[in-house]
Amino acid sequence: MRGLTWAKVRRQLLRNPLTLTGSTIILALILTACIAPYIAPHDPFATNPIQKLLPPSQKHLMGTDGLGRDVLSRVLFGARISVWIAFLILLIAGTVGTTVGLVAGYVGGFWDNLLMRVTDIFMAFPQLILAMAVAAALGPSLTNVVLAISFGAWTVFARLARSRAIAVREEDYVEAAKAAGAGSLRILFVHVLPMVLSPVIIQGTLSMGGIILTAAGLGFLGFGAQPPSPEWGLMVSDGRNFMPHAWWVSTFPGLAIMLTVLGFNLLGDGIRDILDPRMR
Amino acid sequence: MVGYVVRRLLWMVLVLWGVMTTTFFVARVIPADPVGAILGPQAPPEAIEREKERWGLNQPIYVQYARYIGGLLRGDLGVSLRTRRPVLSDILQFLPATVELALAALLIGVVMGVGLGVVSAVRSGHALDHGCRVFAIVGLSMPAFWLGLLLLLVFYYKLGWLPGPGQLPYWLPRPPRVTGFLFLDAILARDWEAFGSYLHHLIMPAFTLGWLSTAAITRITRSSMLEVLHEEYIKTARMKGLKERFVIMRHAFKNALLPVVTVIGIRLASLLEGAVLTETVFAWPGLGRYATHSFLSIDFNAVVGVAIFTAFLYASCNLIVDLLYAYLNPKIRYA
Amino acid sequence: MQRWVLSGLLLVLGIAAIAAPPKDVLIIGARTDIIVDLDPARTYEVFTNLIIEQYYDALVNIVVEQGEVVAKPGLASSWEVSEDGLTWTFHLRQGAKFHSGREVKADDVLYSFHRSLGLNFAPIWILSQYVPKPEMIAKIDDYTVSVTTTQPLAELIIASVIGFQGICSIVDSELVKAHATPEDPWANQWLKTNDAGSGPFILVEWSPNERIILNRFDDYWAGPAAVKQIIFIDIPEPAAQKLALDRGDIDIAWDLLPEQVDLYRDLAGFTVIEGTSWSIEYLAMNAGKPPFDNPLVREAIRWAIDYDAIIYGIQKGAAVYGQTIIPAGMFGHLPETPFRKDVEKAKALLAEAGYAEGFEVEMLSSTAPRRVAIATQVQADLAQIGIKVNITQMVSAQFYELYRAQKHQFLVAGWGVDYADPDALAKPFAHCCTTGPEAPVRQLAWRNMYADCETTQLVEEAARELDPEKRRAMYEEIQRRVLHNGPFVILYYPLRQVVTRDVVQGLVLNPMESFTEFWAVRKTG
Repeated sequence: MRGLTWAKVRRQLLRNPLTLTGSTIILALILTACIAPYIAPHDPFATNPIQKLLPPSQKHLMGTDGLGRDVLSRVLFGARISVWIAFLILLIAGTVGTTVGLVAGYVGGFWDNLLMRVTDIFMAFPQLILAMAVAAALGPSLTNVVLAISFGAWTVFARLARSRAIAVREEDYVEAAKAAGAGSLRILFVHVLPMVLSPVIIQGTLSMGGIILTAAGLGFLGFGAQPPSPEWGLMVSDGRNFMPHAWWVSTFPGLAIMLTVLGFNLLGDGIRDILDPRMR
Repeated sequence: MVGYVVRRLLWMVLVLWGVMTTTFFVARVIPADPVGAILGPQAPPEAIEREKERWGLNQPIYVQYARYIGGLLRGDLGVSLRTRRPVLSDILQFLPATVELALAALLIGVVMGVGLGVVSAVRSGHALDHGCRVFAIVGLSMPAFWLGLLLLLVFYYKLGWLPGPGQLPYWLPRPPRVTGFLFLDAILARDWEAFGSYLHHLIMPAFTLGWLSTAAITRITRSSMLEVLHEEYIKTARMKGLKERFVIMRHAFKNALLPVVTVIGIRLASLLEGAVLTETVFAWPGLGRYATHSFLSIDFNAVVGVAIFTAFLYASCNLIVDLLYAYLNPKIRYA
Repeated sequence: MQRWVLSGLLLVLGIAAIAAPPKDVLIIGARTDIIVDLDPARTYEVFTNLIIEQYYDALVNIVVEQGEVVAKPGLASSWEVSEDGLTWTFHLRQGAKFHSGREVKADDVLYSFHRSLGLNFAPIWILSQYVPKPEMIAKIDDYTVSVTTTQPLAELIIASVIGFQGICSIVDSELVKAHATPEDPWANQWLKTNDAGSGPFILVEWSPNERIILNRFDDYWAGPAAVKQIIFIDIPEPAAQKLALDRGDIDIAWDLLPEQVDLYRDLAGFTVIEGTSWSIEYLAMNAGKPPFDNPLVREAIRWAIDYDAIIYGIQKGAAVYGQTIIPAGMFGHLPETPFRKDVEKAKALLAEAGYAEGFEVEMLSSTAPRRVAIATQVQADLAQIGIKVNITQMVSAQFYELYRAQKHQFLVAGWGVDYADPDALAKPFAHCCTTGPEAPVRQLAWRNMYADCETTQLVEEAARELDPEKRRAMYEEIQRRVLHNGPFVILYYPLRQVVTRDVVQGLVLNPMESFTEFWAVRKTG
């Protein structure tokens, strides 16, 4: 990932129709999350037993669910949850992972060994299984979903940050800073960190789709958000009980998950193309 | 080579110990009473105490930990609180269904992925290339639990083309359990009706899971095909006037296969994970559902056992892939 | 290559359209993953006991007749009690056979009870609370057995305990002994997966998380069952059960949700079968801690809850209205329902208790969607009288840890009846004289630190009372006391609902779900 600059990435991405589509979806998602309260036609939590399980119509574009809530409004509010969860996980996993990687790569020696062995242990878990174990132990809730997924997601960032840090460590300007008497911490944060940051952010984009899917999966299995939260995975799970006669209850939130993840995956695919010289 | 394998194995043991210790303590972080929950709200306190004593759960945590390690060294994963059977035999009972599902999914994933990848590479930059890639990526973006529901709704409920949840029609007796793998058991019993029905039942869950793996395989096939297609010998072959189709299949494809093997190995491990969600939707009697239940009831030994076991599978897959890679590619030598 | 793949695919698809389910086989879609062990000495979960009920038999048969639960002869054709009310003599039916072909005799009865007491698994308390020692069960001759109890007991209690399918099921002693080992003298390992019964069906196959197959036992003492085979298919998802029922792949869907059941009410080709179930959905308030230590606060809560919203909104009407601790249809039920939502009255009570400003309280709930929905409703109701409820959800392993340790403040939970006598409810809900660890019964009253020695005394006396009318009056008195003083808000008694294809006839749900029998169930097409 050497020599990768944002300008270069941006140029490449705009050239490809697939990544362009991906970026558009993601922008739309973030926008939706921001303005959900203003565009949602109904209160996503207001139940109305008389209006339960209405098929899609002008009044309820995506129909209503088993408690008479407007599915469209819930899907819109659900976007906030997904964006928020994914953002928090990236923040936590990214920070923890980068810190571990930086320290390991820059300090080296014993600490490098120790930290990387711990990383290996966490990598040995399948993500979903680890997240299930943590979520079950902490109790099902959105906060714990964030913790549970972060618990396994930081390892990728740690490895990436470490390899970059090792490379940067040898650069002239770091040597120069050292010679000028700068402290280790200062060097780490002022000189090494910025070099590590952009690959980490790119990796974050690549991981997004998987993270959102895992979170939705946890919600579906009952380890994640709890009713009446309009979390998409939970909504699909709720709607299962009304299949097949009220297909809309779980179809639309599922579609929302798919579109969102698709957005991130299309973007990610484009980024991978740029990183993989053979693809050009 | 031998030294390398030994080192990898030793390292694997250490990783498994780490996995075990992490889950052992994570599962006990919060005060919970799985015994009480499993016995139900009505169970009187004396009965719960008695049961805890039976499982050794009223001992200090470090004693439990030491005992667990002791058991582990003897190949004993402990007894599940919920099923009251040794965790290992539970895992071995439910594993075959998951492995069969994963392998079938892998087969679908490989066939679709390699096919799409080759087409995509040969038609690089064309609409067909984009089409193939989008199809693969859509699969990667599908929540497996949702796709499964939709497939059931359409192909089972509306059209009636494919059978519903489960492995066999409800009224069909299961062939005697010899290997545990229904596929093999049906063949051994020469029960062709069960065999056919089973394959039939396998289609939807395997496709759900297989489509998920297609993207990674498509991508690697495409990129390694592209690379090979630019090699000198391909150009030579083309110049010799060989048919394009022949060039692609014989020369390019064969040589592009190597990196694909790696990805397949990695996919196999993550398929086991994807199976958790697929099994719930398709009522598949596999390890994924066992894991979900164990975790939801905080069944201590089963949680740790499942974690160790999956980590073990994960690590073994990776090791085998690495070795296979070395074997296929003589340029790599492990010191 | 392509042609090969295509023909393979066609082959697989071709096998598709094979046969529909056979006519004399009853296929039931149910959530069977709760079953982990089929040793009758250990089974305690409702659904496992339901399976046990089909292939084992007990001395007494608990059935429903005209809405009343009665004890009918099972393997014992008659029984009587001694003068002092302490010894019960059971006369065995001659000619009743085990599936092995052996006749059921007194030795088998003795062995079965001794075995359950010897294994000492969780449900044994149902028997050992009154019959703690093996020597209290004795053989008089090959067809006569006596059971001595620690105290005189009403007939319904002893009958419903001895009729409990599970610990009191009769096993084939010779068959079981043949599988005993020095480490496992009671052959628990073997009986986990094997059949040693004399019931109307024979266990043929149990594949965990897959299915259970039972074949008809032609030599059953009451005559052979109507269907040749019953297959319980594990379909964990209610939605998938519905799909399978609609497609005609199963005959009965066992676990549909009330909202799904509603769809079948007027649908041709299906029948909705309903029955009261003896269980209770309730809120519990810990009377050992403020503010719930004040009976006025507890009473105020009972006047603040919108019972209708819970029953019709959340439970979709699949409930029997009731507010006392002994559910409708059970002996001694007190049909009093004084409470309804009355915000003014609740506020007045709260003010009288000194909480005019309200207070804040933590409410625990398991993660079951229905419980969470109830908690949410309660939260809204109590907000109207100034009480702020914070809901904490946890998996049941954590939930019961706190509840059993009296560490909760307020919670929503459910209770199922263990045996078909009001004693099975009065004890847990009202028997508590001290809230310390030395209490003999540490169940719901104890967990909620509600000590009332007078009521406790009454609970003990009611179990000993032999005159049914006096006994009924005693239980009514107990219910009245708990109704206004106790730490509970009884919300409703859930209704049990299953949906069958209309070819299924003769299915009657027992209010003790596990006692539901399939012996008389027929399939007409």
